[in-house]
Amino acid sequence: MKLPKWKEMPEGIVILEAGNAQEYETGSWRTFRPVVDKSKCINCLFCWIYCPDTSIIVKDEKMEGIDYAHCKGCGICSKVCPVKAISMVEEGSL
Amino acid sequence: MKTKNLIALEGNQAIALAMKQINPDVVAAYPITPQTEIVQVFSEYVANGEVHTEFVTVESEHSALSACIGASAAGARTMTATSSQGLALMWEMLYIASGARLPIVMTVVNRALSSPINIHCDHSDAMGARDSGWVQLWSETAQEAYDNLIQAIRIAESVNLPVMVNMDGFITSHAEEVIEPLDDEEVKHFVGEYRPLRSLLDIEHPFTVGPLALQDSYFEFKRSQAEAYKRVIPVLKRVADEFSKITGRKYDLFETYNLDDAEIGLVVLNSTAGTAKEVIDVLRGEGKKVGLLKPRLFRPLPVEELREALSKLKVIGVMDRADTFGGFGGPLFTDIRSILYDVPNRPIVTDYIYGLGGRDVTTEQIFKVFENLENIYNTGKVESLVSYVGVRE
Amino acid sequence: MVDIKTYDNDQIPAWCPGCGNFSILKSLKQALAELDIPPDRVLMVSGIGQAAKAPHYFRCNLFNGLHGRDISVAVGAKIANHNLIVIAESGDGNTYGEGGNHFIHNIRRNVNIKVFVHNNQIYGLTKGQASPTSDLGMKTKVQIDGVLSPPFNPIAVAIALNASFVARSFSGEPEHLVAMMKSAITHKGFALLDILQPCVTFNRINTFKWYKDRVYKLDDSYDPTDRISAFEKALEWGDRIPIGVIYVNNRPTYEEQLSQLKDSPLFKIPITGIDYSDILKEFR
Repeated sequence: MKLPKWKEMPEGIVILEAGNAQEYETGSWRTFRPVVDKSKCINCLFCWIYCPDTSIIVKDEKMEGIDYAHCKGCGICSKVCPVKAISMVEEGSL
Repeated sequence: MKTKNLIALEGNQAIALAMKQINPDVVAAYPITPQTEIVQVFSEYVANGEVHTEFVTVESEHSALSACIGASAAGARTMTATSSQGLALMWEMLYIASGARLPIVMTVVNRALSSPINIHCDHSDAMGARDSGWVQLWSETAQEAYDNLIQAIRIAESVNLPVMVNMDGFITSHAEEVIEPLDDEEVKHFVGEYRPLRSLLDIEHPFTVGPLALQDSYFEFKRSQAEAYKRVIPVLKRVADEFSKITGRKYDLFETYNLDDAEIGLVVLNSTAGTAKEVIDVLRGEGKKVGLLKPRLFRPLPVEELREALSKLKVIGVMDRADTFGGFGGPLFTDIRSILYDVPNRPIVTDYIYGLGGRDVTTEQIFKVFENLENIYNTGKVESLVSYVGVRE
Repeated sequence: MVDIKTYDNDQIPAWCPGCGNFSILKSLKQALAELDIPPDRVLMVSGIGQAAKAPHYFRCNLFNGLHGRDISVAVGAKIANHNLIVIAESGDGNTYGEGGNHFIHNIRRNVNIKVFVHNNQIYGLTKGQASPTSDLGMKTKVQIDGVLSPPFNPIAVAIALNASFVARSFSGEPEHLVAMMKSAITHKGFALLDILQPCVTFNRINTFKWYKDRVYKLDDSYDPTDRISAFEKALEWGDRIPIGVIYVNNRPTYEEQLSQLKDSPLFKIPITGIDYSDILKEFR
């Protein structure tokens, strides 16, 4: 996302387009990274339901991985996973 | 020339009359001395069906300005009024209104801040809000307050910034004065129909007000806001020109009185300027080259114009009806002194803090100020850059 | 021996002749005298309003602060020195309006302070606008077509929040008022005393007679520990208005739950001998 210069800001503290959170990448907020072990995953999609962002990538009703550009690392997916397929690993330790 | 329609009104009643003629969409307010009467008189207009305003009585000034912010963001022409602690309680909302660029217009009937509790005039309330992003107009008389309020609507809506119109508590708000109001139709025509920049009620164009803006964009928002204030001065001048065509009353960024050939000048806000003019008349009679500058627009500060008007003086006395505790003199003083820093042969500028908590300001006090300024003029020596006038020593 | 005169000072009350505040002023002095509490043990805190002037007319410790904020100040003082008897005294606009949030959350907190509210159902200081307790439809200079919002019910709100002590009295019943004040002061925990107080100048509806014709005293058959029946009493308003102790419980106070306050008041505890080097390590 290209950030606007001050002269390009709208008058008033406003967001004029809807649904632009997708352009705003929050991945850098993360201190713990969810790492999926696909061999354990049963595609129950609990992680997709609980993710407070929309950071679980799903294709054809299958959990495909995590959108690290947006995932803030809250760890909820790891907590709700019934088969413990998602572990939280400290960023930088990988 | 039509016959003048002169009526006797108290300052607060004049403001209420202006509000009636402006006929805003929403007014939300909470009673506080000495402002209470404005909203009380206005509520009669509401009850009598003389305005179409949605009038909301709330449980605090914080809620009053919050309601105004909601209404203004929804696209309504919005007004309120307050004083002292009321303005202080609005503090966090003041920044929301200016940051969100909402053209709310508020009368501030200037009153001292607690503690100790006091209900009378000084300027510590509005001066405390001077960096909040509100445009500040100041008024010497009820007539000026009335005229300022009507012009404030146009200024606010042209630059999308909130405006506060200041007048002195009790001295102006409660004193009866002959004023010449405009006709209802004239005001209606002058303020025109409000066309908001955008409205939350416009469901075709949804938008978000006041989102989170962190390290990556807060600064750009604020830098862009800072730029908006540059537009205020030309807008104010244009609005004042239009206003004088209807009324014959001329307004500018500030008023000068015997300043052109003066060597000693006084800078003072609001009603004390009237008292100072009396003193200047007497001193001019004695052949003394003294004059006055009374700021009308204090925020944004008209730096170039003030510098131009003041730089030829030899000695300037600033009278501040507010202190900046632990700072360097009153708020008006620090601004004026700073403006003149780059002027070659810059004038000597001294500060006189006066009239706190409604302490009477007499012509004797102002004579003394001029006496002091004359001493500085003659000797070039300044005993004290900041002094207090009218306090028991 | 404390006497009612002990609490007198040389200030002349700036209230209208006939104001209900006079009897409240006298009753509180009487209550403090009967409880033999010396003035140096009492702190009176008030906000802004006609009622909030009351502490000016007492010879004791006094803090007069901002509109609606007296309860917060009272709580701070009580926590710093819980040996003080702390009374927050203000009006309905102050306590139930602008200070509503503090009222609600300090009832939950149950700090052992006394909140005496002169409830005249009108803003007196600003000369006659509707207050949070003005009855529906009441016409004022600002609410010209009548009040649109139903009144705030302080008694019901306090019971809903399980306040430790909730009572109502009437300034036209000084003996009852003194008794209620004494009960509130001696109760351990947050005590609300809502005092019906006619405003002779700005409230021409809720007059002395209006209250006199309606108030009745709760008798011994009433059990103030029963929260459900207390709530029923709280909803009684109009033709008949109950006065007396409406609800009481003995839940622990906020101060009792703080181990730091067990041995002595906070202000007497020296800040020495505390090893905080471990905490500092984190920041090195």
